Amino acid sequence: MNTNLPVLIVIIPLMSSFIMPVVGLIRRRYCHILSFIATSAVFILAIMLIKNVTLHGTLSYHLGNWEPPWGIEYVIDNLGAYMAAIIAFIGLSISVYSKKSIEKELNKNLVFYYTLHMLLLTGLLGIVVTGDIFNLYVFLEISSLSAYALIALGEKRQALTASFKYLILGTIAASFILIGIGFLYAVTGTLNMADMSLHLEELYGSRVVHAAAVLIVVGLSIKIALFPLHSWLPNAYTHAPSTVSALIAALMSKVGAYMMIRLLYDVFTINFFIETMPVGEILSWTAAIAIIAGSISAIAQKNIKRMLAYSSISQIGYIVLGIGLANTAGLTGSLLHILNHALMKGCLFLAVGAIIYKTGIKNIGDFNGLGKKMPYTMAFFAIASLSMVGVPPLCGFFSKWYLALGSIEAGRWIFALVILSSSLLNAGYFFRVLEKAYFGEQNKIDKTIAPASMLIPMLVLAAACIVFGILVYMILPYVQYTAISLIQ
Amino acid sequence: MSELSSLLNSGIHPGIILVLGASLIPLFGGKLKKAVLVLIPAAAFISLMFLPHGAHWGFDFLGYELIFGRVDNLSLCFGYIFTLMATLGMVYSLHLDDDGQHISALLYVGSALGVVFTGDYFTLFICWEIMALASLMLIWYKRDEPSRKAGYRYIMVHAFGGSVLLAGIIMQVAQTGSIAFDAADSGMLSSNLILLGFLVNAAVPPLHAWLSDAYPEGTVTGAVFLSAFTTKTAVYVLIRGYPGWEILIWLGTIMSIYGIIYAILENDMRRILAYSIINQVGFMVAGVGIGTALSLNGSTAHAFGHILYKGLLWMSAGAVLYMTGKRKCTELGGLYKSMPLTLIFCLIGAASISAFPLFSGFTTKSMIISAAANQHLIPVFMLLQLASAGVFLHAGIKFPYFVFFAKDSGIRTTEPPKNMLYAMGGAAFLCILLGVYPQLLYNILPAQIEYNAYTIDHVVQQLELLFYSALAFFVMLPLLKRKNTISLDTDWFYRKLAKGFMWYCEKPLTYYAKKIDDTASRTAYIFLWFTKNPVNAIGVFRDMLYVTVLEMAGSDKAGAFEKRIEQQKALHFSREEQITIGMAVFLLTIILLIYLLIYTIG
Amino acid sequence: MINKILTYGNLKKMFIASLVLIYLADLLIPKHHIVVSWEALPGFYSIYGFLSCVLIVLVSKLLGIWLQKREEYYE
Repeated sequence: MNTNLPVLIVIIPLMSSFIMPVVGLIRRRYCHILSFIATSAVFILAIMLIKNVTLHGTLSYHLGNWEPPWGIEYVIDNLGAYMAAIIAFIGLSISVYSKKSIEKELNKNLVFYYTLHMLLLTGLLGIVVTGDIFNLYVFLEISSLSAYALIALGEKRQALTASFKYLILGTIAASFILIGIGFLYAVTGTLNMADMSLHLEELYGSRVVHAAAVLIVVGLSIKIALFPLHSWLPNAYTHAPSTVSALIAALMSKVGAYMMIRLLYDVFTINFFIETMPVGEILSWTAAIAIIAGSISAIAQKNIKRMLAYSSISQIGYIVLGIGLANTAGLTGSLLHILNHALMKGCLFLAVGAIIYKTGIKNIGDFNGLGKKMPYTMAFFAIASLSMVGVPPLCGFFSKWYLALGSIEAGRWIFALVILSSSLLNAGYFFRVLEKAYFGEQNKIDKTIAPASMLIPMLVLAAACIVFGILVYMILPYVQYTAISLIQ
Repeated sequence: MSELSSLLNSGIHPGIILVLGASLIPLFGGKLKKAVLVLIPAAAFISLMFLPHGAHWGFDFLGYELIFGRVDNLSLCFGYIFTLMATLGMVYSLHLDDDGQHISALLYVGSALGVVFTGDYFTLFICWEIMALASLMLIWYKRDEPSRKAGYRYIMVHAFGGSVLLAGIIMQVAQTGSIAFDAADSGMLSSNLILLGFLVNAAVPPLHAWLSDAYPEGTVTGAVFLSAFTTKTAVYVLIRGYPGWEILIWLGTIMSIYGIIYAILENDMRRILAYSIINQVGFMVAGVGIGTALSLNGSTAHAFGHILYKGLLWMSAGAVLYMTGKRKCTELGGLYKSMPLTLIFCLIGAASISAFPLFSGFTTKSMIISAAANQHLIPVFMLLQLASAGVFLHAGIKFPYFVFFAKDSGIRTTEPPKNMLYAMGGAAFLCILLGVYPQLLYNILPAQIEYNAYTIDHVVQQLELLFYSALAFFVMLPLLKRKNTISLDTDWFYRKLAKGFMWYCEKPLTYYAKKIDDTASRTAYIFLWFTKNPVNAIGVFRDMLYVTVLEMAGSDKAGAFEKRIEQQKALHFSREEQITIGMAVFLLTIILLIYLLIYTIG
Repeated sequence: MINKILTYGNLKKMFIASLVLIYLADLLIPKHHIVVSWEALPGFYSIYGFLSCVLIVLVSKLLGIWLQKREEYYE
């Protein structure tokens, strides 16, 4: 069992997505149950993976028993297990949450949604477990296509245009990545990432490799919506169904960041992307601009989902900043932020989804008195917001601490300034919402409470924000070790 | 086991008592709740008496040493007055049925105690942020439009101060590796940043406008807490971290005069008190700057006394506001008939703040001024004396005069609820006690030095200062008439600028973003249109070229071409698809041929 | 009876009396702790207190011309 863990974690959601339409034909209500079972199984497997990796070191699985570098190898190290656990956790939470939300929003497309949900998880998990670069691309496409389709399920026509735009830009990005992979394959002759990085060591001067690096970085930047290549994100997040927004906001950009880390640190290694080409520099400066631009744009928004979308652009900047800094503290901050942001943004989008589900309110201006009307939901929203602003001892504070520390250690004081200014800006737009919700005019307002299946995931995520803040010292050694081993 | 007992032997952190107590409040009801509300801070006060000196409750976090309990005279002194004021404040708030406010108040004081007793910057920052959030609640709970806006500005300014503070702390940690909170190193940039963060909370101009903007918008009971804790916590951290920093002398002196000038202009009685806080804290900051044992004692003692008499003044203002609903001097007056007890308590507070002999201000402020004299800082000494005269002017006379006397506003009301009277009475009693028997306070001050405030010349000189200031007040009374105005302060910058910033974000920025988006979409659409029917498209483009050239040449044959363009555009999508596939293959062949050519030649 | 004593006219007289008394007290007491040379002047603090307050009020009023606005300024 243990040796098959890496592949099981991908097979289960894949098989579920195949079975889902059949189940849907039998009885639609069972779709949700299947998705719940699948995501729970995946979550348990992910936890087992982490335990395994901490005890035994990197896991390796040869697909079809074919030896790498000709066969596809699944490699799970600290980073992979960490990402798998995050994906599984969020996937499970959203799976529980989706029951009521999808029933209301997407009733006619219910089966379709669950199938795509499983496919999306397959793709994401596949990305983090694989050790083969082309396999990476395949899973990237699987997840992207599922995402396009999921977004298109939104209720208004704008969902279609948003999805289409994402489709075009995403495909362009994937093409760039594919061409980059092609170049790398051409010069190294292998598709296995570990093998490739060995072969690349002699080839750092080659123009092909430089071109490949540029193509891959640009392609990935589009995928994770790094400013200024972010234009698909706001519309996609805003017009997708609430559950889908949560899923995509919490996971897709993180997995994109994972790809960036994996490719830059493991395949190209630091020697290349810091010393040979100034990729790290460019990334960190772009990220700094992204942080500020995202926050400023968020302040101007009137629709709450759009505000959260622009906020995500800013947060992605944080993660990429740490990647670009390439020191232990900075990378630790990035990795922590991958976890923290998935939790915080996931919780925020779930809360907003619950608000839309119960009241249909989408504009911040209408948030008056929501604190009394939906007390639990708003409480979770408030906790996640405070974490986003960076109030200690919630989790958001610690990733910012490490990123700022990393910036100062790298001698880039201006990045620390950017991080702290953006906290201020974050406070600006989150406190506006909280002020309206809790202290706005409250006429006769009757309480409505979101259904339990929606409240529980929110509760869990909000609690996680608190827990991973106060108890950050428990996961920190793991994360720091991951960062250090990546830098080597 | 031994660790547990040693932990308990070190006593309990008073902040923990308050925070835990706050979480228990919703569980109680009725009379029992009222008892609990007062017992919680009282218990914290008593627990302080059993707290041994030293560094307690340290633990290791992420490789840094956190110390929750650094107990010495200085922190104990602040701890005593904080818990004492919390008790008085809770008595004052007993009539209130709002759990949220009670919990916020206790959290506020609890986190303030956290700052006072911490030995490391990390805990300091956490408690600093919690203080900002808890105090924000006390403003927002007023639940009207001005308080919402003022609260928002308040938290933004504090978030800014917090960011600067955090920047300094992180820099310090990166450069020294230590997170301990002790006297700061003047050579390092990080120290200056941290100082800036502290100065925001101390309301040092020009970073002070949040205080005069937000405090008057606090709730009746909440404002009493607000007046005491944020600024005095800042004074504490300044004493701890920046004693003897010369810049503080000048900042403090200017601050004390600044507060008076604005207080003279103000119409809102609570804004007068807010500026009065700035004035008094100015003395404390100057004392920190002077840095001698006497002046640091003076700042501590003055903070101690100030919390009491300022709390008393805010309580009396709150009582007037609660009973009359009015806060503008132009709408008040003649209340001495309806609220005599409140008046007496207010006068005691006024006498204390003005430093009348036999009241608490006299025994505390003089230490700072004497220290200035001892150090031969003549201009500072004279300016502080000037400010002392001004105190009586705006707080000692103006405030009670226009609220309780002056022209009768016709308002008739009664005394406030009993609990408010008890609280005010308690505070008033302590003000007199500290004036008559100052040794009680002197014994708990950081440095044990002999000081006697009641020397003949000091008493007489102070009385001179006070009585002739009073004379000045009545002589200048025509100039001091109440006017229904507000005064612009440094918050003008961010209030006007913020509006501009928001407008910029909403209008031009989004406009340009949309334009870029639209252009991209248009370009994409043109490509799409082209590929649908390339032959036709090329024809259309050719015709468009003809039209432009013809129009430039001035010919009127353009009309015919334009018509043809329209026709072809209309037919554009209806042509057969076969042409496009053929075209695609043809184009591909051409491209491959070109590549072949380049490859063989290049 | 207190009300009869505390009339406006009486209060004024008591105030002026105390002003005079205090001024005289300053002339009579021994001055030990002289910081600045002019502290030794007769009735220094009386004059200084009076002038300080006048100065403060005048400066405030002067600045007020510029700083005071109608109440709805920020709306």
